[in-house]
Amino acid sequence: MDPDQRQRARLPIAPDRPPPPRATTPPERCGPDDRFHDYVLAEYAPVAPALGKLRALNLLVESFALAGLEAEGLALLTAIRTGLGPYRTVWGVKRHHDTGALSWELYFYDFQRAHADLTIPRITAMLAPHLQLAGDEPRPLPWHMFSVEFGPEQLRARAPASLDIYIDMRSYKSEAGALHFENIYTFHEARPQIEEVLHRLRACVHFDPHRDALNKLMPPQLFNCHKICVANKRRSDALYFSRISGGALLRFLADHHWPEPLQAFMRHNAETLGHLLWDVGVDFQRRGGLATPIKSGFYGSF
Amino acid sequence: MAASDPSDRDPPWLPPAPAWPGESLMVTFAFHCNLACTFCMVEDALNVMPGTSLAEFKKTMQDPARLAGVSRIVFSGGEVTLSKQLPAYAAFARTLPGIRHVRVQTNATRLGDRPLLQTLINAGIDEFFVSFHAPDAALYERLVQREHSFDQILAGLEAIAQSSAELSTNTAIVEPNHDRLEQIVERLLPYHPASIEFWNYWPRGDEDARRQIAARVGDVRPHLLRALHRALQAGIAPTVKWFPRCLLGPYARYLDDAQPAALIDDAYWAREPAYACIYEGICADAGSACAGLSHSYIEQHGWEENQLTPRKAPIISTQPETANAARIVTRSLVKDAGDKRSHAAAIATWLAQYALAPGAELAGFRLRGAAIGRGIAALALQFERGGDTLEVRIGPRDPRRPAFARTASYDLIYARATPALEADARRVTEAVARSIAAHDRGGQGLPG
Repeated sequence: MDPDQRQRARLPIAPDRPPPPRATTPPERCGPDDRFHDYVLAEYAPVAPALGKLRALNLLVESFALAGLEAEGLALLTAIRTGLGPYRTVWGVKRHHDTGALSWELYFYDFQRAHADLTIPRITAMLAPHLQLAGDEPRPLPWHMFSVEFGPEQLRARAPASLDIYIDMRSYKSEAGALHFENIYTFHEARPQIEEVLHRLRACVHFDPHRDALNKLMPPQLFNCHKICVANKRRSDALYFSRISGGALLRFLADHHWPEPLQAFMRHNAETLGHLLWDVGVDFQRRGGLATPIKSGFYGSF
Repeated sequence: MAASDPSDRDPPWLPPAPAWPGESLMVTFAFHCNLACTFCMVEDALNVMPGTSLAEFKKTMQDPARLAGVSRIVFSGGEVTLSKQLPAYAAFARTLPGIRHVRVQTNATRLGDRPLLQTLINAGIDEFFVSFHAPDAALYERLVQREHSFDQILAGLEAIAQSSAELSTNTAIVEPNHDRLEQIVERLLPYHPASIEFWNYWPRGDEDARRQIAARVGDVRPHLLRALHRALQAGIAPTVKWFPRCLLGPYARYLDDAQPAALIDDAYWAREPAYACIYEGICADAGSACAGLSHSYIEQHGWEENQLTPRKAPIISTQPETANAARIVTRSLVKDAGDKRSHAAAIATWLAQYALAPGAELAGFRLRGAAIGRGIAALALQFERGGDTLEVRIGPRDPRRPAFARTASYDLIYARATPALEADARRVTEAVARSIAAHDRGGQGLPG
């Protein structure tokens, strides 16, 4: 052995000990009857044996804990699971890049409108002890999904949370009895329909195909997904990628500068979260002549 | 006068070089090197990986299956000519049944030492595959970070050319040499190589493109095509690896990414570069015919969506749709409602896209049922014939695990077959794989 190697061998070894999770409640683990859904509540088969492994929900709880709202967040989740049952709700955690603030959104799907127990008034009542909604369904609408979006202020101080109603490929914000057009979404198979994705993207006002690098918005690990959604919003455009791997989510969190504790949670639980697929989205806005991510989010279901 | 597009020139025609990787077994050892190539694909293994010892090599070769279809042993490292044991490896390789050639992959810096070269040839080495990356000393030594190496390599090439052994060469295409490829061919011609290979930068260990050394494929293209043209003019069939097929025009027939099977530490493959193409879902060449671009390249230069052109494959549609209906279905969020159906409906739709259906007969067995695995990502197809039953399990393609058959998206194994039914199970599994492969262009998932 040469002298250099002996020297290196004497260096102290720092154990890669995982940081403790921020959440104080024990993590939830998958049972034999767990079901797995992507962010449009389409069911998928887990990519590895799931029994005993961590549920996606734990990452949501960790985000609540990171914001100092673990108890409030858990109470909200309990209310929904008690009232609606498991495996019916999609959740999203958003990071607002300008401020670094986190916010959350819960999505309630019923494409066929087959579930009598899923109505906007019923969910409004269910959430009432925890969240106050700013809007309602002004008249019966042919929605397939509605969502409730809230930040720390809404959860902590019960400031009004926004209600968005999704009809076909559009979404409307419901406020004080009025509906305001918000976003338009199109969904495409990632690989077979890539030309439609490119067409939609090239037509986005916040993306310049001659100046902006597509790989910055759609790196290879995100292209390796199930579906790509292109969205046009009032102040930005957005891309969403469904059913990406845990490794791709970890890279996404790093690329968009998510809080280190959340990245650490993913990193140190990679094995016990490895059965899951995730969904992510990024809103981008033209700033300084370039498409610039202004908000990113990741999604799971419970 | 403006230069014409090299792809417009009618290339001299030669059949592609023999596909040597398919009939070769690579044995890796001596992970040391006397150069420090800036694009090295085993940089993390040098002085770390132990390599295959002579004893391990001999033990492994006791398994006749290892040599099935193999007529060439290739030694690679590191720089294997640095190992005093190389003649012993070569001599043993010559004793193996069916071995007609023994090759070394080398930088040739030591082969100007003619007694050493003769020792290697006497030991049984008859092919030298020499890395040659620049036409002059200044660029060469910049790329390999060792002074005086260029003269040593030329001396090695000269010695090989004057020996009884066959010379072939390999040039890594990187940013610093991408516009010198034609000159590289000119520099090599006096040594009469049997083949000249151009390997576009293979970024093993450079997942994040930290080296920033990949040349843009659009910049490489004219120089590469002229280099290929020149080699063909000289009667040498070239080979290109890891370059987009759609950019090679009439030279596409010389693209072949194949590599030989290798005896190497499994850890080596953990950092094998991933490849993708933005058009892989609509290009008939995607997959085995064209790897696309490495993730590392895409990190550095982007998807090249305006440079690459997919060779459109016919779209497989299970039901005819009017143009408007197709557009509405494609563009509407409601499309996703289709996914939220019963498992049975999802499985039936999945089967239909591969021309399979309950009741279908394959290799004499009837498909009687299908079920999604509860705890694992797998679809189990149950077959029966009279009172005999067997199962074919389909999972997402994962090259790390063994499979009886593979398609672009899936691994297939058979199960629940008695020993008496094993031959039938193989036939049924092969039939299922054929049916899926006929429509599977990659990137597909299980039902759900």
